[in-house]
Amino acid sequence: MTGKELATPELDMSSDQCVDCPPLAAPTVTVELFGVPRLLLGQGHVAVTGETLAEVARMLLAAAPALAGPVLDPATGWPNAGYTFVIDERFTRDPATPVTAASSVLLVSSVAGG
Amino acid sequence: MHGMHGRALQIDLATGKTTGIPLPDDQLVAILGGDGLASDLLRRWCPPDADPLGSETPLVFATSPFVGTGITTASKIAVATKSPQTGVIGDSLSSSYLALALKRTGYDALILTGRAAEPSLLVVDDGRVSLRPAADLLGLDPAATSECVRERLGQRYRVAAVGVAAERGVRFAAISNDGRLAGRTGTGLVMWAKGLKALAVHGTRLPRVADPARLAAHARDLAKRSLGPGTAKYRELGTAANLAFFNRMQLLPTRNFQAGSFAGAERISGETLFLDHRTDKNACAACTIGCEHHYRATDGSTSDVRLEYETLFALGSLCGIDDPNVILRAAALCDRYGMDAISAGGTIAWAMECAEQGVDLGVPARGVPRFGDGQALLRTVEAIGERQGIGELLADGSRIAAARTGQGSDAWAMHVKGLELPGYDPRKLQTLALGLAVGTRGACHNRSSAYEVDLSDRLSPDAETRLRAEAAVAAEDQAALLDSLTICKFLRHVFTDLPGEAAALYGAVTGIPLTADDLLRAGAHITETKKRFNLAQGWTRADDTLPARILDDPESHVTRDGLNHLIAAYYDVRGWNADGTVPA
Ligand code: SF4
Repeated sequence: MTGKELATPELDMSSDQCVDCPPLAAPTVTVELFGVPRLLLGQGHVAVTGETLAEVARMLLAAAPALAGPVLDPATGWPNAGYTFVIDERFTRDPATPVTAASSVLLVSSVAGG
Repeated sequence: MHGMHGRALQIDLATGKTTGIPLPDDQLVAILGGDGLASDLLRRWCPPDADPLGSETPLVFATSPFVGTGITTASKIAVATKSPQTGVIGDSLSSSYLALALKRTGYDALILTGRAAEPSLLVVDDGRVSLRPAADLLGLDPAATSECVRERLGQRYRVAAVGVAAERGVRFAAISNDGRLAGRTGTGLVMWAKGLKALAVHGTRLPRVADPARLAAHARDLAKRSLGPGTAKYRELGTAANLAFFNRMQLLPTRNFQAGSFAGAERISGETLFLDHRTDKNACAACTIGCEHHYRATDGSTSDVRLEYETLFALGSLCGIDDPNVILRAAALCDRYGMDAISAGGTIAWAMECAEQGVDLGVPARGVPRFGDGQALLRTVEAIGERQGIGELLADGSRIAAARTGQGSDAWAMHVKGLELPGYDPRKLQTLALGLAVGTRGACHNRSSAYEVDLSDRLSPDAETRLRAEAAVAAEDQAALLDSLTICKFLRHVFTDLPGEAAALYGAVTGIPLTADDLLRAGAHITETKKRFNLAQGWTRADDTLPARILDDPESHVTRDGLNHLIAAYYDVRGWNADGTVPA
């Protein structure tokens, strides 16, 4: 990431909802994985639910625990500084970014090109 | 100043005469070292309108204050000359032990002028210079040449050599050392034109640094941080990781830039290569990152091959090749012949499109490669390296080949100033498109790295022209700064304040207290130095452009008018005249 790094998001853990369960009525989003995340998981995509990027990240952690540590913060699911999301071809580390079932969501290295 | 010797060594290869050239502190501070120093010396020593292969054109090798200091990744050498491929500046960087050896000779740079009377080996040993016959080395690849020279002189020597591609006159022949290349713009052909098959260097005299304790603390901290998330991609998968992602984003140049995605991308992706072909990992001298991943063909046709994304795309998707074994063999051939894989792949892709369009290339049809034909790709790489058959045409690069061929084939010659485009489709990368168009050495992602602006959240796609121009200028000047301090670009994300931290390192090494702003100004001055060289060699405004295929594509985000506005804004941000010339 060449722009300013956003802090790891403060996730709201006060809800009754189990973190391993999808938020009620949230859309299903396919997260496409590239590079190390893909190798760690042995697959190129994971279907999760969520209405914001923060929710998607949290559900991704639950669905793909192999990413905890090297890619995702084990507590929040938010990608560590080496990774970023690309939503509909826009790079973002804003956890409030809304996603829909039609969104294209990629998890990639935050170091572009080279 | 500390950290530099304060002098260069000029060697007239025609007479063997050597002259020590003082490098005053103010000159060194203004251009820092490395690429800045090599470019500055080239500008001072090269006559206007020089013939790149003429004896009057200098070939410069330069080190930097950071070489030999223990600063991670900084063991790099810069090479500069007038490019026989582009006619403008040909500046290149290469890593590893050669840089350390040169730094120990007691000189900061070598300025090679004239031409040796016969194929020669130039030996520089602690400032003593000898020129030795090297006819017995002809025909050897760079690695074998280096091995022979070191057997003869001793393993303490480090060697830069050219391969058969240079001997045969390939305009994108490289200079090879320690398994690395000063790859782009044909510096190898200039070295050969000076009568040199190889350069062997040894020395024992490193300059003292100003504050060893402060430097050691900074260097330790940087080395520790170099193992963090900012370099994870390079350490774990290498640059080959770009391919699948670029393909998904429609940025992967495919079939000579006819498309931005490739049906065979999965087969040649970094992830697939990692699982099926990777054997080993290595690092340049004095590097804690180690981004160099080695791969081997599964059919036994290669031993370990170092493969970067740029080689992978150029010999893969660009030529429609989806067989990793073929790409690895082609990459190994480029290394063996000693030539730039991007220009080799780019020029072959041009020929493949000629075949598709029915253009007569003056050789029997069976000698013309076609998209997707791996065996034809391998034959054509060899033909270029030997400059035989179709290689006689392609060894000059796509611009000259298209000019010689005519029949409208320049419409798909994908170059800027004669340098083939790197592996980023600029149709969707507007800042990079500007960076490639105005780049002093032609279409180069290393001298601009403006793709970082496009592949981030820094600017929206509809950002104002001026903001984009400022971003392109900043990317270019940052690259000039890194290349002149010889810090590897793969370290760039490790810094939280690159110019500030670089200034602290510079102060500890040299004892000269520069600020972050001073370094940014030096980056701009270095870019301008290269531009002034180009102006003296005949640059015109028309040279700053992109291939018609990019500008005329209705899907492209970069139109002719849009690019012209961006270029005008870029000149303005730089403080240059509206016609792109630099005020006196
Ligand atoms: S990161 Fe890679 S290219 Fe850079 S110095 Fe280290 S090994 Fe060499």
